[in-house]
Amino acid sequence: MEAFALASERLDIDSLIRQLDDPAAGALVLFHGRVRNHHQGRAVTGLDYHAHMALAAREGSRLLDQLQAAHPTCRIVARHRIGMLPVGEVAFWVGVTSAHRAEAFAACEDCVRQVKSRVPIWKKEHYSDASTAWLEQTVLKAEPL
Amino acid sequence: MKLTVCYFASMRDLAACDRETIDSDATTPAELYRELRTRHPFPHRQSELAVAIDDEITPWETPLSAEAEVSLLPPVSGG
Repeated sequence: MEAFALASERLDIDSLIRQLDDPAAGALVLFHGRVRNHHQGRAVTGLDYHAHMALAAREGSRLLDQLQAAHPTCRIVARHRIGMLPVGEVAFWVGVTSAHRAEAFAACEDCVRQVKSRVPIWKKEHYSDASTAWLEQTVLKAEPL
Repeated sequence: MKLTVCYFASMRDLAACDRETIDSDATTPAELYRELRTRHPFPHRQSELAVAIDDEITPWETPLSAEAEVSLLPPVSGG
């Protein structure tokens, strides 16, 4: 099972959880990043995710390797969707197992924060009045991960 | 020198294409971006972007070689 992957189809979360199954893990922490129906007071109807596919796949894998090394008692898996997603759809998913909850929560938060800021993925918001806007939030750094 | 430039997200919309091949005398991505801003209405300052050469994020002063593929990366918003 790859630690990080981009997905153009709906995520099979039950399958992802089954693949994380580990009898030694007392904790399974999941993050479901879902498409929300509002942003800064505007009604959002969907999000269109784009990526630099080759770079995002590689930077994501490097990042997960680094997170795995930083949280050695955890197993961390992340998936990010690409394409047009309706409200309620899971766009970004992180699953972490570990023997105890504290390190799993910490690794999950670390993974969410770093994938959002270090992997070349962009989202375009679609609003209820049919207008759209790209969101631009974090400048990528040139330093190697 | 022939270079391929790839655009993403808002920059793709502003350039009205996802990639183009151009003839340029630019020797670094920084010079190339100054030139591209005369062709397209990019609002970003260089400091607001990252650049990748052949799928590797790289400093703006890295020398460009012929046939290089240069990707301009606006601030990301995954998640």
